[in-house]
Amino acid sequence: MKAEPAGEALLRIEEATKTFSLRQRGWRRRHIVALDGVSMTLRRGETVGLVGESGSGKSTLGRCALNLLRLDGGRIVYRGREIQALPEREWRPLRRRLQMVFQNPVSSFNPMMTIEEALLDALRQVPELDVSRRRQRVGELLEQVQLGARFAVLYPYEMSGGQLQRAAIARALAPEPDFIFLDEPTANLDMSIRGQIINLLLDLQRQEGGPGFVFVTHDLRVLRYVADRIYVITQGHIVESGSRDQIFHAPRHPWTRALLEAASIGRRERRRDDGSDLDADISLESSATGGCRLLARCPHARERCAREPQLLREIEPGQYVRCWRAEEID
Amino acid sequence: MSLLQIEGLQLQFRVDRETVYALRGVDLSVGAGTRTAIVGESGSGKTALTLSLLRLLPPNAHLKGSVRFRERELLTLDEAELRQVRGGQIATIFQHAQAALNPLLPVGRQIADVCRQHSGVGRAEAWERAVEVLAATGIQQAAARARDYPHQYSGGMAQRALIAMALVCEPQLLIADEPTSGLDVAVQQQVLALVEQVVARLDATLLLITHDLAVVADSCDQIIVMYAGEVMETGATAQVLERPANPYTAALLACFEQTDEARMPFIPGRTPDMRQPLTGCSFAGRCAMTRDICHQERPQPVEVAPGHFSACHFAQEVVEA
Amino acid sequence: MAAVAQGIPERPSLLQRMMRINGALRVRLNLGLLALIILLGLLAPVLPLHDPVRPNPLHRFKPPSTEHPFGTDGNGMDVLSRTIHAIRTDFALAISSVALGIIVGAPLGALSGYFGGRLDSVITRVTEVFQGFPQILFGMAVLAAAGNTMVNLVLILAFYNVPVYSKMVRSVTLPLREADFVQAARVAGNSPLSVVFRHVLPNTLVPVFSQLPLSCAYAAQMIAGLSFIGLGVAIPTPEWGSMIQLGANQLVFGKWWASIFPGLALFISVWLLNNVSDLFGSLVVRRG
Repeated sequence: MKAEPAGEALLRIEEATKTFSLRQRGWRRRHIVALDGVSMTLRRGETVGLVGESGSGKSTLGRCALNLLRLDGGRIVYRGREIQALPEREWRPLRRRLQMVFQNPVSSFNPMMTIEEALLDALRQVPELDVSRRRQRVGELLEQVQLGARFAVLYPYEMSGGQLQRAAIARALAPEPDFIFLDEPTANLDMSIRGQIINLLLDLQRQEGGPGFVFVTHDLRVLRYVADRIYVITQGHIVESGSRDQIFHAPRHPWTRALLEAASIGRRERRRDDGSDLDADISLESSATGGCRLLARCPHARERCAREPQLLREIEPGQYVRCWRAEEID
Repeated sequence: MSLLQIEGLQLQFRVDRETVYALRGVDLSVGAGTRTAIVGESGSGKTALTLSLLRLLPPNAHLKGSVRFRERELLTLDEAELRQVRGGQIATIFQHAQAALNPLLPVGRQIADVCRQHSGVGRAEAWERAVEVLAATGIQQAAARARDYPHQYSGGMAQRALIAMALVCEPQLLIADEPTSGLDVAVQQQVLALVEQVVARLDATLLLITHDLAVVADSCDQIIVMYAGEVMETGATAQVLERPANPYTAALLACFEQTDEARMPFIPGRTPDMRQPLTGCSFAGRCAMTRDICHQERPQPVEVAPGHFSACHFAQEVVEA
Repeated sequence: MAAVAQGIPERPSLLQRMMRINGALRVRLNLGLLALIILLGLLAPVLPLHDPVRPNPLHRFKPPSTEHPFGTDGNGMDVLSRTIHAIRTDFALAISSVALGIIVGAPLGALSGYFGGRLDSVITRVTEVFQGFPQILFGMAVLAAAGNTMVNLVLILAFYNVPVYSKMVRSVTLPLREADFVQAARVAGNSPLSVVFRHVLPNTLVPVFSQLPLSCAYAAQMIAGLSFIGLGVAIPTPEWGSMIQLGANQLVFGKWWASIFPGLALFISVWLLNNVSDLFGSLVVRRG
């Protein structure tokens, strides 16, 4: 591996666009905009949080970045090469550098394979290891995720969710990746054991030359511990990005603030049901009106919000917000 | 006065010659007019408890104990009497609203059917009532949306429709089993607020089943903490959350708290094997203050403050810590 | 008021217990009897039986006796010995044809389901055309044209099992295509073919195995059917279908034994295979 200066972009997502079309009521089709011009930069060894509610496009972004799904528009540039267009032959040696951990630890393992077989399967993409070294490596990886080699012989259904998720991280670490996309890795786990996964990531971050992480989640709480930078995504749009401190201590976008508030205990007074349809498919209507997509949900909306599409602009060094009123509202 | 009184409730499943202990002797009472939360993580038995109340259990289940609802024993009712109670006096909102609705019938029709079953009104009147409750749960243009099918509803709207369905029965007890799972945070807030509104309007009792302590803090006045099929702690929400008297509650609370610690708190170990009977305390294997007695003797509930019980040998020490 | 009520009893009722034992017992009983039949077939050469293929013109259509417990057939051959030796023929033909059908059909179905698109269309259309032929007629035509050999018989039967298994595996593959572990296998660097054969195919085999006994039963019926109309297995070789046919025209004269015993053997085997298939199926449902 070539040494690259720290801080340089290793993976760039440029103006990623992806639309799914679903069949509805016979021949009519309904289009769902999963990603709409999303750009992200991932630097070597850093942990980037990507926060958004369900259906915000965050998982789609992960799958596109790993080339599991084709973008409709935009580019995924890894080490200066656009990977979506690469022929299979050129892509395969790169594949091992971008790994993934899935939300549901149980369903992400082949039920017919033991943990050792699953890890060996992933180690097949490491040509520099011979077969006997690979088995040894399985033991080392399981130690690294604090499971121990005795788990190697178990089948997925014999393990708890937390243990399996650690095994999934071991599997992602196996081919020595540059980046691991963690797609809601703690969402299916009990609150009392989420800390195990988060702390394991903290340990892995400290290791020299370890991979960077993209932590996709709807739960901001967990990012406070692990993320260096955070992107907030909703309806296929990045609405705010910045360092962890900027997002947690000086959030600017109304949506970010709403997410932060919802994640804290003791919020009795501000909750009211005004009967508004906040979760209707806004992605459908708003693309037609041309205004801010969060118009219907935003308590700070003004008439101008309905007229102008909002653009990302830098309001602090490193902090970008998609809202013209970002400075005024408090 | 207690509306629901559960004593010595045990639920076991026989699976391939093994016994799965889902509830290991649950005693609790839910006061009329309270908003009570049952809090627990996976394997705690909170869902098993709900299903036991309604006796919605598979044939390999064995249920023992007593469940009294308004002084009436539910476990000995026959199927016809039970149907009167289910959906009539006790209504349930299940998690995954979309899956709980019949995909082949318009939403309004499903609500009207429930209405006709319980109040015996005519078709037209039932439909009107369905539209009315849909509107009451905040669905806009309810008359039109009532004719839509469940797949045309978003997750939050489907949950509203389920709440509307519960509303037409005018139940005395409303059980909400993780009503917000799978919904966006913003929508979660609305659904919870709506549940509270409905309960207040009907003057009903709420039993909220959840794993999320944050939800409980806002919505409920009583709390029942469950772990591995046992009740660990009960009391007023403020008491339990501010001065937990059980090490499990305390450890779980720590996992929810926002701190500036560098590492995220967690409870080491895993829940006890559900296929094994327990001798001592169910939390003994993971507890920071375990002593010999914890492995030998099952702790009985101790009243640490008026109305605040904890099943821990050292409850007094925990509450004072 | 007693505080403790017995809602659903702690112990299962006698009826429930019997049902449960019955469930396990049925599986064991059916599998045990099936194993007994196969064992009998395997041991046929060493059992103290008459030579199954030696005709004896002096002992034609002898009724059951101590010498010939099932009597003798129109060629004077011992019906008991032939019925037992026929287990070998019928089961071997049935199992090999079904196995061949699975070996070809299952991978086709997995490929077709996983890759979809044009490959899927081609495989689906071709297998549908296969299934469109009336089986007995097709069997007769091929055996008449290509020769009445056992190999051809196996091929014909396999030919009919290929679409059955390719369709079944395809339908199980479709939902697996988006399964997390399949995506994980792609991320772990498996090539598309390796995803299909290492990860998808093994996870489709449960329904295949529950279908297997049923296919064997069907194949055994087909073999007997073709042999009955004079195709398939030729006369001296012990085979139930041809035995039934040979005895059938004497049935009306009260000489029932030459047909009834092989008929019973066929009936019992097919019945047991069907039962086992059902039980496998219900086990799968329960696990899932």
